[in-house]
Amino acid sequence: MKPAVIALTDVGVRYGGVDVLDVPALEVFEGEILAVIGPNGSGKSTLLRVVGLLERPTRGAVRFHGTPVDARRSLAERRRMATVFQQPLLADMTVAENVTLGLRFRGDAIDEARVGRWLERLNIAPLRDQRARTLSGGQAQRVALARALVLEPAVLLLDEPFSGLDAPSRAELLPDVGAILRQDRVTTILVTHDRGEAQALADRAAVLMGGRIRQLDHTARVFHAPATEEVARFVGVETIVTGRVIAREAGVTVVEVAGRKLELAAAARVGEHVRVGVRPEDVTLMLPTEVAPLSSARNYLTGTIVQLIPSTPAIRVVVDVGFPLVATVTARSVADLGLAEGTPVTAAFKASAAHLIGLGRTVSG
Amino acid sequence: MDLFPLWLSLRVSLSATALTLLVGVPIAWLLARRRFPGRNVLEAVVVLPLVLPPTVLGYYLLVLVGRRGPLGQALASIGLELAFTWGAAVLAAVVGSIALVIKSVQAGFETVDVQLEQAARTLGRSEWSVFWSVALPLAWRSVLAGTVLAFCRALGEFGITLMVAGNIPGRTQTLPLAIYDRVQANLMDEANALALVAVGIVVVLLFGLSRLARLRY
Repeated sequence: MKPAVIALTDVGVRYGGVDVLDVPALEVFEGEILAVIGPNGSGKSTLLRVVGLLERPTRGAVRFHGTPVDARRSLAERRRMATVFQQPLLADMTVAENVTLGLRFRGDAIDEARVGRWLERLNIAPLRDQRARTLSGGQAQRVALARALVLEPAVLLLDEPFSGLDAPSRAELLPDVGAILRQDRVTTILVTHDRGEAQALADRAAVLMGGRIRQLDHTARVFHAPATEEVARFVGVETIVTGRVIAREAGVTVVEVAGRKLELAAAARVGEHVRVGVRPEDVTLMLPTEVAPLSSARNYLTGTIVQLIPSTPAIRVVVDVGFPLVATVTARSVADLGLAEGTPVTAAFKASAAHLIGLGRTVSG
Repeated sequence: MDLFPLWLSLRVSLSATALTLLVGVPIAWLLARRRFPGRNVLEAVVVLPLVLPPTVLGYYLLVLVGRRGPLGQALASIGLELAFTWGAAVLAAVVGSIALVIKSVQAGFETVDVQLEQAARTLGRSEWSVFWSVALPLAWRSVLAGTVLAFCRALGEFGITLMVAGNIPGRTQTLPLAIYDRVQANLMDEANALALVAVGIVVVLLFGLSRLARLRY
């Protein structure tokens, strides 16, 4: 395993007698992108300030490359990190001058070629001599990212860097940043409340709720095998039901839920009561036909639409199949299939799309 | 007319203001930015000089720096005497005015966006440099306002000064004490002239600087 760049041990932060952060252990390994996701106020930014040596925790130790560090004293270590906040926080000077700010504050020589390279990589080279105050939000955030990346930091800390942007700027910036981080293997901690950003960028994801890490695992596992119902709801698993395992055959677990039989790919013991979660985007809706379609989906549940909830980018459809099952469907499909409240439909999903909640590993490297 | 009280008052007030800034600004920074045990106590102690009777403050200062006081004895051992000197008048003015500097500057620091300080830190600035290059420049209006208020308060200091520095003509008789003396001696013309000078200095400072820097107190 690669060495840990950052390691937190028994870190806690208390404000006015309230625990806002309680992290017994957290390691960030070289070259990985770790997303810290959680609802607003869950302690994400506090965690990032502690890691970034901007705030001294109430208790616990922070290590950087194995050396204990302290927010007040470890200027040299803090200078090996770079941070981008939600607000670009540029100085009132040109783009190029802003990008070299960190180098100048560190007393480093300004390598023009290196600065030029980062301006290119973030697609802001043409803006080089423009004043920062004339930039759009997206451009300004690119400058802030260039200012951080030009330092070639040992750890890059991103605190909701895309949250302040309009949707088109965000959609352009996200893949650009992803490409740079992957190509250079920049060790990164990304704090975000946006699950999509975590899925798009992160190797591992930590779900922080109420100041505690509820799950830390490979991003795909966090989103597909959430450790608890709370985590499941946060990562977008909308249908969560209780059932009993009635059979286990040929790699498939059969769970009875409200009189319906669901087939799951995950393993469980017969007789066990389990919680089953299904992500709405994994559910396909079709109009009932005489002949069952040939497909690899193991679960076909007939029911009636009880509610259509408009949301972006798709419409959420609640189908009563003995229990409420949520599916996301595009507006176009809703129109083409004539879906409305009371429409009888068949909801289909694969055995691998139905997850057992709370049986997965909760913490893993 | 003897102008000694005017010059003494200016000298005392300027020295006191400088000392007040030197001590008050770091305390204001601590109160605005740091959490530490005893912070609430410090916050309360800081405003005490504003609410305690000046004679009470003066009494305790005299106990402290008087010939038999702990600080007085320490100073005496190195050949210094503070009580009933112009230095004691400076001390009185510092005690009387420091709360104004601390409160004003603290409020100023509190309005500085912490994110800007954090951004400077993430760009590699040291704590010292964050203070001088970010916090202080952004809070300078409050610092200036606090300075003006402290200077005016120092200039008007009466009760504490009387207790700890006395009212010795030609040595520790400051402008306010001189006015009091003139009134007692029924020298109303002199009292009037000195009072006008005091009013003039304060008005020029308060209004001139507030116009210049658009200060709000």
